[in-house]
Amino acid sequence: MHSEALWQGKRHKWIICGRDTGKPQKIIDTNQYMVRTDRRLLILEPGGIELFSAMLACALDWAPIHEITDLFASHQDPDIISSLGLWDQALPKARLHAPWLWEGFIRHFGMSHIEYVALPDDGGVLELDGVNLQLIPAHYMHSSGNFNVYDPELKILMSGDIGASLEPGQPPLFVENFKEHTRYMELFHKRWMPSNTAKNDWVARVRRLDIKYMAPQHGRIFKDDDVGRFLDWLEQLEVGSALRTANR
Amino acid sequence: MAELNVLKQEDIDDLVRQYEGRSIPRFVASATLASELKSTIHYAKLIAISSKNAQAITARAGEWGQGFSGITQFIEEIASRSMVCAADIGAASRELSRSAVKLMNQQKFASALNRSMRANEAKSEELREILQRNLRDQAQLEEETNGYYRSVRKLLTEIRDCTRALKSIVANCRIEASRAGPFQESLFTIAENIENAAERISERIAIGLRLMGLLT
Ligand SMILES: [Fe+2]
Ligand SMILES: [Fe+2]
Repeated sequence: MHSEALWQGKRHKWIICGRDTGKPQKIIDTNQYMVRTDRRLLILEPGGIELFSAMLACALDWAPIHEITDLFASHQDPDIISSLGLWDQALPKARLHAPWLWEGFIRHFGMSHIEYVALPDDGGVLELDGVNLQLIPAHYMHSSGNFNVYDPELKILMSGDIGASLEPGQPPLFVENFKEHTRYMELFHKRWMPSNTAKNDWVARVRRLDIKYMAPQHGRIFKDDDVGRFLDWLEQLEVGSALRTANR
Repeated sequence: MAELNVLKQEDIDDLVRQYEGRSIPRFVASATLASELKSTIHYAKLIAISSKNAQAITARAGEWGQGFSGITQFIEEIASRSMVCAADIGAASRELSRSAVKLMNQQKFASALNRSMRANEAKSEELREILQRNLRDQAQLEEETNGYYRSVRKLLTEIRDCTRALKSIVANCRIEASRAGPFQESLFTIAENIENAAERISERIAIGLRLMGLLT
């Protein structure tokens, strides 16, 4: 699995792990992000059970096991957190930050050692060694209990499934041509995002944040003006409408 | 490129303590070993580079460098063998971690099956067949895991021997450097660089062996 540090703050850095060439072909490709401070490591969207061994190996290149103290799951999907049962065995002491709505569901992946930190609907702050990450509500985008993670210092929005693209092969990390890129996003957003109201509400909320990088869980990362281009594109896109096509 | 981790012996004590009586899963200890020994490749490379530098100096030094020159070939061979060993340790311990995860999943499956058999005694014969298959898979995985374990152990011994050989060559390097007249200073520096890198590798091997101890 490829991993590299993408952004460096005063006391922390962001790392991406992904583009795993060893993953079984039929499972969707995912980006895992990690936030590393001096003494702690947070894994955002730890990923599916099939990816666990590669992901553990990757995380250990950045921190010893006992410094992997925090996991974050934006929502309950298997590609986000079905590896939980194995992390639960692996980590001596850790917390999982995830929506309160999904606690009873996520625990089905197996959890007897890790502590579940139930995130209230309004979100809040995830504090990691003095670094404050904001939890931005993104409910119904697509999951009914869902959060993004915003880093105000580095101006990064980890947007989970929002901004996801399904592109064949091993695409580069960053969007290079936004217009071209939309064709890999359209179906995903039309079909997986269920509500125009929720979508417009999210766009309005996110427009108030100063974002330099928008990092989704699938596909390429948006930077600078492409973030605004994405918000404009999503705003005009009618979502939740693919069902009409699907039923035809 | 990830940072090179440097756990110290006391960090491992701390790590063991953090699990509060639970034993450290084999897949964690072996994946940690893979990460912790990654830097040995880097140090072995440094040794090879130092040796190349020594070659360049001795070529210029002519008569003065003859003694040192004879050793560089040997150093390079050991350094490249160490690099191969270090890479193989990484690969084998990652495989060990992967098969230990699979084995754990199979064990969980077996205990779930046992519970089902107790809950539904009438159907327990059918389940017993599945359990038998599972036990065969487990035995195979166990064998695979042990195979990787043995490989890692053997490679650790081999890289340790390489490092010991390097350390003893450094003594010769110093003797030869002292005979190199105007090139003495730079060859001393090279001997010191080789010694430092060999020392770092030794430390990593000690950590590797300690982690191996957690794997049994
Ligand atoms: Fe999802
Ligand atoms: Fe997803």
